[in-house]
Amino acid sequence: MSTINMQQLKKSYQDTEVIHGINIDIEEGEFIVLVGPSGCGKSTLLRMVAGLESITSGEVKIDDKVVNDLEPKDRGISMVFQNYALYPHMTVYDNMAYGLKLMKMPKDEIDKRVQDVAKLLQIQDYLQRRPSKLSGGQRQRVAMGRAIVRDPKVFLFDEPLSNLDAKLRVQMRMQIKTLQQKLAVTTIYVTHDQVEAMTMADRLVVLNNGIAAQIGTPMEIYDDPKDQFVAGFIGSPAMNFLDCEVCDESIKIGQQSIATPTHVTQRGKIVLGIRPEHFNQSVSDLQGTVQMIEKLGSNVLLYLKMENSEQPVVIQCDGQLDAKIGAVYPFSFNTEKLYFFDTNTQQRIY
Amino acid sequence: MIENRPMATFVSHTVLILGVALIVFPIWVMVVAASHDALRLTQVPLPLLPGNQFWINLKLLFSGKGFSAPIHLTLLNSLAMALMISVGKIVISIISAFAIVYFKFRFRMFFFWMIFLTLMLPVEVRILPTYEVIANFGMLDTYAGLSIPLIASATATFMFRQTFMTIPDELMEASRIDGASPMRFFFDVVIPMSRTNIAALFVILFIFGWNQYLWPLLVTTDPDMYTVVMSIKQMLESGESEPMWHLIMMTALVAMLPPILVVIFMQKIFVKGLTDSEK
Ligand SMILES: Nc1ncnc2c1ncn2[C@@H]1O[C@H](COP(=O)(O)OP(=O)(O)OP(=O)(O)O)[C@@H](O)[C@H]1O
Ligand SMILES: [Mg+2]
Repeated sequence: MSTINMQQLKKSYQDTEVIHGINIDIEEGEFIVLVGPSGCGKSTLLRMVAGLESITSGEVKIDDKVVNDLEPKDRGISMVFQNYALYPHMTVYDNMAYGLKLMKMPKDEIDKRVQDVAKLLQIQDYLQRRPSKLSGGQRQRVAMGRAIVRDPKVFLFDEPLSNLDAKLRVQMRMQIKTLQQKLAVTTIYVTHDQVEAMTMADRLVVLNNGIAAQIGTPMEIYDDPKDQFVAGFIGSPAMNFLDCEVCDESIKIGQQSIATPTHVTQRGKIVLGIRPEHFNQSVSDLQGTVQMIEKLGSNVLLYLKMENSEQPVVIQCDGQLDAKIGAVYPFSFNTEKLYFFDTNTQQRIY
Repeated sequence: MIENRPMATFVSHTVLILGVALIVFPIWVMVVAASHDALRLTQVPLPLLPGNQFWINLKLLFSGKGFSAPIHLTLLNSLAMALMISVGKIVISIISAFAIVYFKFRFRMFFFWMIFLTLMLPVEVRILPTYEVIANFGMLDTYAGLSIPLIASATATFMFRQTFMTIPDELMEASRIDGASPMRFFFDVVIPMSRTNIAALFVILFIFGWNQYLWPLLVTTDPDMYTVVMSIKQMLESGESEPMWHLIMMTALVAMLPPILVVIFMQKIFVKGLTDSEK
């Protein structure tokens, strides 16, 4: 169990800065998920902690010790890569034992550790096979095993599940989480899949263009996003954003309008955000034309077009709903769950 | 392709058989010539069926009677030269390729292009200055003199560079986290993953080394240092007497064997490497 602190961490490649000063304090045994769109710097940040990428400025501390200049092997970390990075010419056993051999650990100790971890991950039967003779999920577990045998202070995962099919991904997701709780090793996990992020994280770090847009527990971030980017990124299906104009009595959305909530005091142009799951169907002060219907089984997603409004509105409805394309569909917002963002700064105001 | 067209099968087989015959016929002539005595080979028509002198001729070669050096000496010289050239080329080029691919040092691209440039300077082009250098080092009539000038190899460096670039970077990073030094990574990961290429290259380079003619001709004056390929030519010019075709053919025949053995032996490793490739 270890703490990790990142202070004003920056990274530049030649002249372009890709990480712009990140501060994160991670507690012992915490499961931190770094999430963000492609190219936002998740891998770069993780690799800076691992020691695979140099640090332009700022500090990384593991257990209160600055590790900026330590080699990866001296930082007490293990890493699981997206493509597993198993040594193709070694057996599963040798893959797991390689790091321990380099530590000059006695043979019987190595054997004991590898066997224990293999049992934990249920890969005992493949120990003598080459990675090429394993399925994706099995390779994934071997890669985990190689990380665990080293008995590290910190686990680092870089999108470890993105090469698996959807069902296996859900399975492995649970396995990794359970395992991490059992071993209680501080973990940083990178993903761009926000469902993975929500389900696994103790705390989430939402990255946007090399900046930590928000740090918090999954529910904090879901309920209380700091800006439009975070609001749109976390939650599935994504939050609807509607350009509207706030007047004294009503908020105008295109030709239609709703009553202005009392706590909204700013007037003028504003961005209204509402999650697809936060609509009312009992009352109806708004309406839209059905453009597309997505049946997901347990529920139905309706894509509505409102008059004079560019953005379609996505509503999550009951699975039994019977709607037709082109029909006019009445709806209203759950006014408790409205978010308001500044048009220019995209910061959340209400 | 599964097709059943007798005509196509017939044509393709004819072409294949013709191709094989074209290559096999001279070898057959060689075998036949090596099994007759000197007299028979001066008479027309030349024999097309083997004679009964094969073992006698072979023994004569190994005794070294009537020639500069017995064949086992020249064979040994050739073997030493070919091995030193092929092993040396592989060792040097694999290390330089490793440096170029995995280390970010100053002037990396400069060195890369310098190596590239040497492609334009094969032995034949730089033969005089090279001779001068070797002579000044006192390496005439030595194995070192025979092989060292031929060892540097841009082609092999390129090939290894290409191979290394197909090894995913993540493997290097994984080994860094496992605590492997660059040289450990080289020996534990890079070399095992390139063994198919090493085997293939060894075959090509061994034959290249074995077939060297011009360079050994220049740097060796002592008959004990002659290579077998040279000695064939030497025998053709053996003064005023008739060339001894039966012995020349026998020498050529024996000289062919080591490269063939290398191909056969390496082929096994090669095919095995290809079939359980796991990159
Ligand atoms: N070696 C490099 N040289 C220059 N720029 C780089 C280099 N590596 C990464 N970058 C840039 O840094 C930024 C962050 O890259 P990074 O790989 O961390 O993204 P990521 O969040 O992991 O994305 P993904 O989800 O696609 O893996 C990108 O804009 C990328 O173009
Ligand atoms: Mg990445």
